[in-house]
Amino acid sequence: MTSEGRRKPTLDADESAALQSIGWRPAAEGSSCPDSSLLLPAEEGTLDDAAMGTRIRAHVESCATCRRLAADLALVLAEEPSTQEAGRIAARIQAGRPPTRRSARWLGVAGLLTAAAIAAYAFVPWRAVRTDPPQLPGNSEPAISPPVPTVFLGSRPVIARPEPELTVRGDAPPVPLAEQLGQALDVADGGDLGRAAATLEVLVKKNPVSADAHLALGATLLRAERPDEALPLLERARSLTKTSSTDEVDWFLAVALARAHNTARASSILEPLCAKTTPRASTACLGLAELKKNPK
Amino acid sequence: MATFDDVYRLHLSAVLRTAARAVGRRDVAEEITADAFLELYRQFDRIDVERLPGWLLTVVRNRAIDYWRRQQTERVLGPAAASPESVGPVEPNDQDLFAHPALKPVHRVCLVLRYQQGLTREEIAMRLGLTDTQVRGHLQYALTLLRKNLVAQTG
Repeated sequence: MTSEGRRKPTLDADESAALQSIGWRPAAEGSSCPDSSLLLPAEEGTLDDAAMGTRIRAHVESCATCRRLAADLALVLAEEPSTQEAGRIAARIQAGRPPTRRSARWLGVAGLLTAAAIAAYAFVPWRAVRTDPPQLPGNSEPAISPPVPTVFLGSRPVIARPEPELTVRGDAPPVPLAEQLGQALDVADGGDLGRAAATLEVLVKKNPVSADAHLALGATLLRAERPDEALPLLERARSLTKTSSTDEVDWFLAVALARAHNTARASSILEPLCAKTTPRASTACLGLAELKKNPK
Repeated sequence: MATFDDVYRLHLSAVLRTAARAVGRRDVAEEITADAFLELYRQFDRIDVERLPGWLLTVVRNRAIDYWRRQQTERVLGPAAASPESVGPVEPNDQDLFAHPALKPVHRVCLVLRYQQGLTREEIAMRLGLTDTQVRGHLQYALTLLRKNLVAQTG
C-alpha cells in the first residue's frame, strides 16, 4: 500500500479557478482520512494488518466524510465490468493459459463475446440519445460513459443496465462471426459508425439468419441516427431470435420505433417487457412512462 | 455440462465486484479476477461447477489477502512514508461542499479522491475502472453543479 492517496492535490489553473469559485480551500496537510482504497478492505477484513483494519473502522465510524466515501465507493466499485475491463481480463487469462488445452480456444470466444455484448449494450441508442450527466451551461463536453448509462427516451432519464448475452447462431461458423461482430462493435465504439455499419452490412449479408448480426447492425444504425434503416433489421433480428428471451431485441426495437415516432407500437412492445421481472423490465417501465407522458 | 466459457461469462461480473471490494480498487481487482479464472481453468477438470461461484470467490479473497500482505511488506521495507491509515482532523468545509445531494456517488468519489486525497485524474481512473476522460467529465460536472448551487444560494 502506498501513501499516494494522501497528497495535497496539484491543481491546474481551471481547477483552481473552479474550486475557488465554490469556496474550497486545501487542507493544510492534505487529507485527514485514510487512503480510500483501504476503506472497503477494512470492512471486508482482507487487510493483512488486523490492527490497521481496526483503526480504520474506528475512524470511519467517527468520520462522516469517510462513511460517505465508503458508501459511495461500494456503489462505484460494484459497477458491471466495462468493455475495456472485460477485454483486459480475457487477455490476461489468454496470456496465462497453456496453449495445448482443447477447451482453451473457447476462452477467447468467451472473452470476446462478453466484451462484444457489453459493447453492444453500452454503445447503442441510449448513448446516442443522451448520456449522463446532463449538460450544464458552461460545462464542457463531459464524454461520460458510465457502465450504467442513463437513458433518455424522449426527455426523461431511464436507467439501462448492461446484460452480456450475445449468442451466435445461424449457418456461419460461430467463432469467426463472433470475432467479426466484436471487431465491428469496437470500430463503432471508436466513433467510426459509418465504417462499423458497412462492415456489419456485409456480415448480415453473409449471415442472413444470424439474429446477432442483425441486432448489431440495427443498433449501430440507431446510434448513427438512422432509425428508419434500423427498424427492418431489428424486426428481422426479433423474428430470428429463438432463445427463450427476446428482451434485448425488443428493447432496441422499441427505442427505434419511438425515435421513428411510432409510439403506439413502441408502447405495445414495452408493455409486456415492463411486466416481466428481468433486468430490462425497469428500463422498459420508465421508457413506457415517458412515452405515455410525451407521446410525440 | 457447463463449459469453461459458460462459467466465465456467468460469474465474471460477481468475481470482479467481489475483488474490487476486497482490494478497494478496480485495476488490482482486474488482475485478481484474471488470476482466479486462470486458476479455475487449470483445475477445471477437478472442480465441481456446483461449487461455483463460491470456489472462485474464495480464490479472490485469498488473492486479496496476498495482495495486502505484499503491500504491507513493501511499506515496512520501503522508504519512510506517511502511514496511509493515519488520521487527522476532519475538514468540515470539504464535507459540506462535497455532500451535495444532487451529486451522484461517482461524482462525490471523484471529488474526494482528487481534491481531498490529492490523486491525479489518471490514478482515479485506474482505481475506479474509468477512463481519464470520464474522470475529467465527472469532475467538471460536479464542480459546475456545485458552483450553480452556490450561486443559487447566494442569490
